[in-house]
Amino acid sequence: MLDAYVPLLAMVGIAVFIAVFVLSVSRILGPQKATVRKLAPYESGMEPIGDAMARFPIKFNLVAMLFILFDVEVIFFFPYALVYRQLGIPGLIEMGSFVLVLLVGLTYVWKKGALTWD
Amino acid sequence: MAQIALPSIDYMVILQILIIFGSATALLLIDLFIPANQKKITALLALGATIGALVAGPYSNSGVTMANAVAFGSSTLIVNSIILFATAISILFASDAMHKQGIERGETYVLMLLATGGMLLLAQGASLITLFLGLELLSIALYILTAIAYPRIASEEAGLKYLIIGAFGAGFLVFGIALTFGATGSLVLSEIATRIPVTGIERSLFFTGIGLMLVGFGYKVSLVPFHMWTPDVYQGAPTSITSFMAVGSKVAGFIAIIALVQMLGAEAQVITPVLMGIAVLTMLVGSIVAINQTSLKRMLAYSSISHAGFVLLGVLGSTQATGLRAPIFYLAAYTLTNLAAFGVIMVLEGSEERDLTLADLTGLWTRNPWLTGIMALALLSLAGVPPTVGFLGKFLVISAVWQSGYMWMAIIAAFASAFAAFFYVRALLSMFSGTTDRPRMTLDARSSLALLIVAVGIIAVGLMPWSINAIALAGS
Amino acid sequence: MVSTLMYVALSAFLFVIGVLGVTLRKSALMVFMSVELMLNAANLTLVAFANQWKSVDAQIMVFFVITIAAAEVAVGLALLVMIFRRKNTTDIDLMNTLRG
Repeated sequence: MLDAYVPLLAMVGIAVFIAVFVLSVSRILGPQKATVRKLAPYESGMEPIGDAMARFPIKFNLVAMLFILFDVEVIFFFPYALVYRQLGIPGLIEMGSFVLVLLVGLTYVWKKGALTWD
Repeated sequence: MAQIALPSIDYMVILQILIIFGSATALLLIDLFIPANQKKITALLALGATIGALVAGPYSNSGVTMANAVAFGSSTLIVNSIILFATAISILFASDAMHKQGIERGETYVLMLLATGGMLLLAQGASLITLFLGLELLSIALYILTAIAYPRIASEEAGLKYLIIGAFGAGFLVFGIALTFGATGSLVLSEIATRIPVTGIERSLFFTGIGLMLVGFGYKVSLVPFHMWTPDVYQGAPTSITSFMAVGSKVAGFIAIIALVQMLGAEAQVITPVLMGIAVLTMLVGSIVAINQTSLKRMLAYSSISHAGFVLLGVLGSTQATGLRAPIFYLAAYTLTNLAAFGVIMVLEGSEERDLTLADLTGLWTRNPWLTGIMALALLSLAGVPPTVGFLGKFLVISAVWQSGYMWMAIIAAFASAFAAFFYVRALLSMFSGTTDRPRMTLDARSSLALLIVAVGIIAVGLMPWSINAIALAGS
Repeated sequence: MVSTLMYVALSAFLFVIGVLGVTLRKSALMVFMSVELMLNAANLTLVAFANQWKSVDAQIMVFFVITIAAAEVAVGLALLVMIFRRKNTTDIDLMNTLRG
């Protein structure tokens, strides 16, 4: 009964081994000589201006977050776009209800003032 | 061009889910027009939706619909009712406590409905896609609910911690689903059950997948060793949310585990030894670590871990003959008891955000005799003392395990429950001893009603054995 | 034609990296990315098997996983911003308000 676990154990073992192996090999074999060039943020690139950790307004974060959410919903339109003729009216109703739910979310965001820039 | 027919949908099968999600969506809009000091209207509407869904239960059709994705049956009816009952009580609690603490937000109730919808989806899931969606809907809503007491830093940190652990668990779940699909070529539970590979690499893929999925659900129901987040999150979340989370996500998570174990059928014996070990570890760790705790919420968190072990044991001990009555009854008992215990803690917190410790219970008897009575009832039920519902739950689980031939497990379970009784009794004694200068707490009508319902439930279900038979009929 | 098992091996590899990332990294952002890696490793497996079984079920599952992952990260980032404003750090080891 427990024989069923042997391949599983082997698989986990191999996966862990490979991960550890690759990480340690590059650590051990790879030359780790730091030069000024190498430590520069962009090797043979532009000289960086200012600190990368510069603060920027939190508003960007909010907009980016909302963008991701609504953007990802678009993937459900791709399959629909391919077969919308074959699906006919029932498909339109289904997609309509999907969009309706998204609209409720948009209305909420709008009414809460998340879309106004200051 | 050939028409593609959409899979037929029997809306009566998904009636309860439809009511909950529909009203959650509507409530999100309605709440925008409710002024900030009138959020109890939102609570009332959410409560109405929950009760509506509860009432709609018996009118739902049994069967499978939406291309084998969602199912409804007599045992689902029981589980859905437990979940909706817990939601209704939690809304009453939240509406009172959050108002007192000044953190009442309309979104709380919308999110609670969404989490409930996720739980129902999980309970009715007949396909791995539905199970995943249900779990994530429930989880994401709970992450936000945990952090909803911002600007309290404890609440925010608890939310982030819960999210990281939850997302980690979700990763395991999805990878497990992928491997299971790879081995069988189907995501529908009933189809997978007929296609379990007998030999070869597919078989190891399949059981790796099942194992990873159980890890994913294990995080959700906090089985040892996936339990580390539980005390922190339970402590950091607002208490009314903690009770909702402790009850709802555990019930829903276990229903998913039960669905998986049932899907395996006779093949379940491959994973039974491992799950047995986990169940024993969970019971023991939960009981032993709880002794050291001074914070009441942390103590209840460890107690809930220990109870998760019992439910898992009940799932494994269930055979064709006994059906699922042991684990489902245990979950019902756990729901009533924890709602009562967290409810009392919530009332005792009043308008403070302080984390209550065992010392706060001292002399409670002289302050609030009724509250003391309900807390005593809850503690006795947690410890499994007759005639409470907790006793019946433990009794059913242990006898089911005994009958299915795992005598040692039954003995360990009995031992663990005796061990756990220690800290419940300690809390019990401190309530009746000593005096306190802390003021008497006043109860709002909402909390009183909710506490009364669960207290009556603890006694009534514990005294009436017919309720077991009702569940036995449903669960077989 | 690359066999399905090669894809599975690759995604198992990615998955382990993700798991290690979640457990070893200190920055909450890196933890989110590692979770994302875990989910996408699973997506790769799903798509590979969907190709092998000639079934679209698994591809639909991938859509849902992508959506859920985005929702999860959005909530996570919102929480992180709130905490960062207070504590000025994203190091999850420093989030120790809750102790037993």
